[in-house]
Amino acid sequence: MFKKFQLPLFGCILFFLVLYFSFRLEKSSSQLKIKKIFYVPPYSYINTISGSFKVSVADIFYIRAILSIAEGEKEYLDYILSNLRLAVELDPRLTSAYIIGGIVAPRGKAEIPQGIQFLKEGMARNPQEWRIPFWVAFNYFQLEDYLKAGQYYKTASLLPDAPRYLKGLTAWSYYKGGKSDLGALFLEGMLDSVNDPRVLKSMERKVEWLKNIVFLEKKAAEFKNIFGQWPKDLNELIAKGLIQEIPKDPFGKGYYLDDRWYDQRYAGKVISKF
Amino acid sequence: MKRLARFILLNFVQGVREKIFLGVIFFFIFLLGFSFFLSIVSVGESASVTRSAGLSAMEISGLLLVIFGFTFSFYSDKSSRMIEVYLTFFSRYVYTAGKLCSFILIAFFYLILAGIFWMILLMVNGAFFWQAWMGILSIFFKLSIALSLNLLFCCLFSSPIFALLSTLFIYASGEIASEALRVVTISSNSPISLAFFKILKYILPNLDKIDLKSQLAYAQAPDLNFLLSMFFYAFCYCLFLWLLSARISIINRN
Repeated sequence: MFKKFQLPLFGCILFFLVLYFSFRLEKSSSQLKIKKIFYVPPYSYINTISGSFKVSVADIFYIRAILSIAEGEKEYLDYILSNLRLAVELDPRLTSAYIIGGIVAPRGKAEIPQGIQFLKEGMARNPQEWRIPFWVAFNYFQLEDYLKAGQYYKTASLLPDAPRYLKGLTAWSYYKGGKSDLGALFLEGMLDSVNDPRVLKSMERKVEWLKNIVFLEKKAAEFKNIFGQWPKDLNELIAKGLIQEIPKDPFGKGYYLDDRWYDQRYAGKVISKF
Repeated sequence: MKRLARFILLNFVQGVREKIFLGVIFFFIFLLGFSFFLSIVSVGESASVTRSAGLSAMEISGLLLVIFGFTFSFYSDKSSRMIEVYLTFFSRYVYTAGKLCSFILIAFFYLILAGIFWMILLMVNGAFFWQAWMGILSIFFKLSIALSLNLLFCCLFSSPIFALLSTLFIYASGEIASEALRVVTISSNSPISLAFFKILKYILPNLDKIDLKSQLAYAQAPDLNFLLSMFFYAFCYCLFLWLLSARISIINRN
């Protein structure tokens, strides 16, 4: 009777021993603390050996970068960007790699310039892709460099298939950067190319809004030239006869002067209430 | 002609019944499942990853099927002396043509099956587009060339391992020939060696040129002219290799 079950019993014991040793092996290997090697093979090598499988190989490096983001490696940005750089070199149409490398991977303001650099490389490879300059602009916006953000929004808005709202974003960035005149000029230049009456109306409103700001800022500068100091309120311009009334704000809830008139960067700047 | 058709059919049915065929189908389903999980983790690119990984899986599994299947069938004919029976009915030209045609048919049948699975996955992932069949066609052309190369090496060598490895290496060389030539162009200044490598590149099967994986991954279909030139290139190459195989075949000598 026992002999009949001897072999299966022995088999079962062996099976559980395999499981036990597998568990032990896993535990002891994790104690070895093997340092992960952040190595990405060179493009020239991978490009040569991948033959017609370039797209699939590019996908592998793209996924490798995504998994590294998920794992939150310490020395990780360079590693992620190297993987993504290799992926886009093998397959330049892998546009999602640019948003991952330029927007998702950088952690904090200190790493954003690296993201911008990566995106600019992508712009050189895909000069017709509007999304890449759009993401560059987004990064500059985060760094509060509104003028550069405006420049890149403008670049993106002029590329094929770019959504219409980019034109508005360009003007908005120029406004945030204190260059409302550039924003107004840009939007005015765009009016002729717009066919949709609703979009046209909205753009005309934005042009009027920006032109009013430019007008009021000019008058504030005139005030400074005449009286030697910046006005503290827009009503001072009416009181001194420089304007008859404050123009109606077609976009926000009215114009006012930046209250940091004592700081040269903000003195005489007109803002809209939202 | 009737006998040739029967011979092709016999080999086709035998090839499909082989365990290799079933094994490769399971291997392909495994690769397809893997590509499905890859598409989940590839944020923003799941459609292109499903397409390219599926096509790559189809090509790799198809290559394994035709090379192993053909080599096994060819050498088992030889070891079982069936080849002698066949050669009493046909000439070596007809025998090699029949063997090649039957395995080209197997490759076609396999690609249709694999293509159905792949297209189902494309539909599930929302990556389907009707020109996807062009990708399957381009793989079929590549596999036909691989089969012709395999026939040549099977006819040349008495060892199946040699035939198998030679086919795989030439296939790999055909895949990387263009890039390798670029490396040679950069590193070598000698016009003679450059000319030699250029000629070598054109002699080797231009497998990276008859490939649509990178285009179809982004749902960009090639034009009909390109498809036709791919077809003529593959057809002429296969015909040439078949003639060469039948001419220098060791079958006759044995």
